[in-house]
Amino acid sequence: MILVQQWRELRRRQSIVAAAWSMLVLWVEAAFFKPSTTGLLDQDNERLNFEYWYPNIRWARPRLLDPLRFVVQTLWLIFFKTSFEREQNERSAIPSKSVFRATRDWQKSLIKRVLYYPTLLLDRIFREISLSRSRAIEALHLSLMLAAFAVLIFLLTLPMEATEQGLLLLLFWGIALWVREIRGRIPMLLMILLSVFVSTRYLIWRVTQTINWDVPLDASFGILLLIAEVYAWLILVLGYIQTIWPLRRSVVNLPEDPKQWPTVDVFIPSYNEPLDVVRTTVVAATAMDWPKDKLNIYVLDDGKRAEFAKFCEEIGVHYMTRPDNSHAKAGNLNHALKQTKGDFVTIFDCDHIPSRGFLQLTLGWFSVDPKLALMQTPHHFFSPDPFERNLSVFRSRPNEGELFYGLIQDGNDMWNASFFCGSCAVLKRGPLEEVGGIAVETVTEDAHTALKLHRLGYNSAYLNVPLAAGLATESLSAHIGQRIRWARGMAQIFRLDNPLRGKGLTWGQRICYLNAMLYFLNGIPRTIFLLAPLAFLLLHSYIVFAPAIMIAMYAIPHLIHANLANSRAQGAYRHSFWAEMYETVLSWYILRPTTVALISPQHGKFNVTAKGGTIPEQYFDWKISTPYLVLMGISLVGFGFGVYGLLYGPRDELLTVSLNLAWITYNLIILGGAVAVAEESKQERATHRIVVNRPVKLYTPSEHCYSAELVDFSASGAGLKLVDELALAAGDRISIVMAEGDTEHAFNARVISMRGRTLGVRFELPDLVSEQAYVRATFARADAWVGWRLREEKEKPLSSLREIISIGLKGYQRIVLQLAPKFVFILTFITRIWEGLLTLLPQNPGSGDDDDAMAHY
Amino acid sequence: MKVITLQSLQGGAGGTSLTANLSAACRRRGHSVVAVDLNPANELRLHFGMPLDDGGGLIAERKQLQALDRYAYQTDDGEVYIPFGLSELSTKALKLDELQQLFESLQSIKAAQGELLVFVDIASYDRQLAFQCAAWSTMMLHIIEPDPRAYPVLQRFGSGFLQALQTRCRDCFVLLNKSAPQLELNRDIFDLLRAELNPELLIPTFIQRDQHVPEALATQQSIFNYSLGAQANVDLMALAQWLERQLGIPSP
Repeated sequence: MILVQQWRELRRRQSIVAAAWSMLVLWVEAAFFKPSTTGLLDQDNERLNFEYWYPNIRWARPRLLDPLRFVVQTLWLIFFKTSFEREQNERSAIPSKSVFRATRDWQKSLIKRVLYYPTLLLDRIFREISLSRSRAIEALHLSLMLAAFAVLIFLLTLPMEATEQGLLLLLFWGIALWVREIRGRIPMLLMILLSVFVSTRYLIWRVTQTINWDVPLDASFGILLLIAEVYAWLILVLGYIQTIWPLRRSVVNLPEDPKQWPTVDVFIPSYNEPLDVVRTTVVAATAMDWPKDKLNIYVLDDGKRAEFAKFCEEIGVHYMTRPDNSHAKAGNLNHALKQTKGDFVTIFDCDHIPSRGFLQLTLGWFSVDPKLALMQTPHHFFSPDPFERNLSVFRSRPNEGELFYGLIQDGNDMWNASFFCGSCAVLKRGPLEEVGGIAVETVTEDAHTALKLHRLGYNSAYLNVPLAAGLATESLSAHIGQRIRWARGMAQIFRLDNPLRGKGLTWGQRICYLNAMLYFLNGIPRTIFLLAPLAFLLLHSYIVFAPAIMIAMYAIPHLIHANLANSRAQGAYRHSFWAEMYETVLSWYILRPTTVALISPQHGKFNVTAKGGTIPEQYFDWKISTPYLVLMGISLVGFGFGVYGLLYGPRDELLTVSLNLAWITYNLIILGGAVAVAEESKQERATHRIVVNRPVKLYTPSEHCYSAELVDFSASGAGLKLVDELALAAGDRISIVMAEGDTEHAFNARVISMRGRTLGVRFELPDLVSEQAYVRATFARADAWVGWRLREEKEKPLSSLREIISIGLKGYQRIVLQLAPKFVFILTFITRIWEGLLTLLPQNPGSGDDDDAMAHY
Repeated sequence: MKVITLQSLQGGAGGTSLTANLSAACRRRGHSVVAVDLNPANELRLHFGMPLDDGGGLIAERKQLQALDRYAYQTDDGEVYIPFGLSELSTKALKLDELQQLFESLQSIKAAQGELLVFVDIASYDRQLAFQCAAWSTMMLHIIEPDPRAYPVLQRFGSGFLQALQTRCRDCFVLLNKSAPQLELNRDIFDLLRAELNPELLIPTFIQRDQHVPEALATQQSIFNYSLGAQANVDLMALAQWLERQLGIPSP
């Protein structure tokens, strides 16, 4: 009976074939998963559905390759452990019953234990040794180091045949994959060591054996590539040293008695930013938890605007202008420095909203360390940067700044070399005046000031807790403009005040500064890497003069090890391959300014980064993406040549052609990603909405109180989700009750929109007191930015690569859509094939719904 | 059996409403509850939907308090309530032995699951009754509304009376009811009370002022039945949870 009914119901909606299929699925499902009638009713248990176990198959609408998907997923489910099972295994101590699995676990745990205990021991020995400072141990230290060094040099320069080299590297690779799973820093050090070794060996091989001096063209191209590779190696090694042991400082408490707390001047420099942007920052600064008589806030207005003066007077903060605008932000700060006299100077860019606990959490360290001159906190952004917005990955992937503020600064801190980043930092007045205030010789005044402080023997600290948040750059061109400035400034410091020379720095500090500066010189090497495969494909020049098999034997392990080690060391802060895209976007633009700055460091001026704007229409930034499009065009031609060579070229070049083709395909993907970012998606709201999930209360005009969920907020409005629909209309006055510290505050608001259970409101804050309370309850909450960072334990390089390929394809799709919309079907076809291939891969059971959720955002 | 006695510190602070709605909240969380009205105003019953002209209750049956079924009523939701009953002026209030009798017969009730929760409502002025009830109570909740009377009332409460109660019932708490942050005076007094009251005395959760509460009474239902989305429900549930933790009883 039920069956007939079901059949009729299905036939009403679907064709005969589809209906028959649905019935079949239902029947199989019932047969396999729902043996009892109670199970049939148990709709809540998702595990009794095919959809749960086969999320990669859409049962309602079967596709051609579904049988294949089914088989792959089934095999995977049978033979591999899902992440859920792995988690379960780690949690439960109950041994599994299957003998087969038990042996495997036993083996695995044995391997792990063998490695685990020695590393634990090593860890302890490391600590012991670093603590004790006796002569004997130091001598031992030194002799061990020398011995290790000798062995290393021997191994590095040992010439080998392809098979031997291959075996050696296979062994290394095995070790790297093996220790990858083990937690702790010693395994990470081992991976880094392996990576440095393999890369150095590769480089030595490259230098000694792969330049063909007989052909001038090959030699010159070869040397160019070699220079780029030496650069890349240097950055790799310096980067490892920089982040080898991140310090991860915690908060130090202030003295109990607030009377002993120091006086603080807060500087908020502004030049051309609208008052709406600055307003929230100033209000939040006044709402910081600090004794009122010890806190002075100065708005330093280089724009000399009357409305700013008026606002500052209303709100009761100091307003300061100066006769000229020399040296831009640095000059502005220095001017204020001369007029004020607080013990400490805190600097916030005018869009960086401090949280109420900023001063209390940062100033403690100064009372512990009298030589401390600088305390930096991360720059946290609550709006998406151009990458995040244009690729729609906001808050789902670590963003560009995450690597620097999440890891590198903590690594610098270990070497007492964390930099000043211009904002969200506390500086001690004495040392700052000693170095002559903020540095004005270069356009990155912040890093240069820190360098000067370090040269005088002062310490710097980094507290890796987001305590202030601001707006990210609003468009790709603005982002590039900002990075050009940084690159130029770093190159200037490199020339004018080179960290390798001069007095006062430790070697750790020199390395950290050197790496920061060299990093921005990546324009030329990156361009060389993008062009290199073309030398062979177009000009038939052997720039790496070696048999393809040898190149593969040396280069591929070098790349794999670098990737594995980097993924281990920084995967949580930047996923693999994303760096390539970030750098490629910038490379062309920082190439010229850095070169100019290296030659003539005095040139160049400060440009202000635009923030808080809107992008009314989605558009494609042709101007900014021209260089990539050109590179892409040449690469495509090279690709064509390569394919031709593969089909009709001489047989003995086959491997070389394939290698170069693989390289250029990778380049094309990265370039596609760079172009994809150039399509600026719409940004309509001038004020950014911050997505949260927090319980609030709501009073209607009739004095009814409802519980609601705060979905998002901005400086002026909010979105709420109600439990039930309410009889509210646009224009109604309501008040919203939010927790503010340990008390509650109600804010008057007007209903803007009411759609279903979603309510949009605009706040009407009549006076400063309620505005302060509002900022304290939202932007400046002590825990406002806690939990924003994505902290995955393990990053998966392969899935990251998959993602980058998808982004690259998106880039091509966007170009074709702009140029010749008629041909977009070709790319849609390619993308389809790619996506189809992806769906063939097995998926974790129960992950089907997550995908939908992702698509929703 | 756990007896929780509720008394407003100032008239109109909402003790009766809270007794009714808190027992409804606990009932919704799966506890067996009894709400007892010891306030001669006989208003608790209205929250449970008892007809106005029905005069049944404690006072009419004071001679036979062992016969619980004569004066205890049950709602559709399963809360048991005992109205005070309509009475002549001269015979107001239960005598001590009658009170003893009442609690003894309450003790005979077998809870369907877990512990039986008995919520007792006492008139705000009746200090003597509060003192008597304290002997049977596991906990006493003193309800205060953040209005200008709150401060003097608390002073009076804290000078002697609280200490006397605490000799009989260790767990005395103050509950802030009718908080309305959108009203300046209310919020200021609220903040003042929270800042000045002994944190061990003050219940960390509090109840928002909400028009749903009187409206629910006007329709003679609990707030849960009247409007599910009301903030009062969230507050009451939070209070019920706090109560569970404090009494050390698991939520069924």
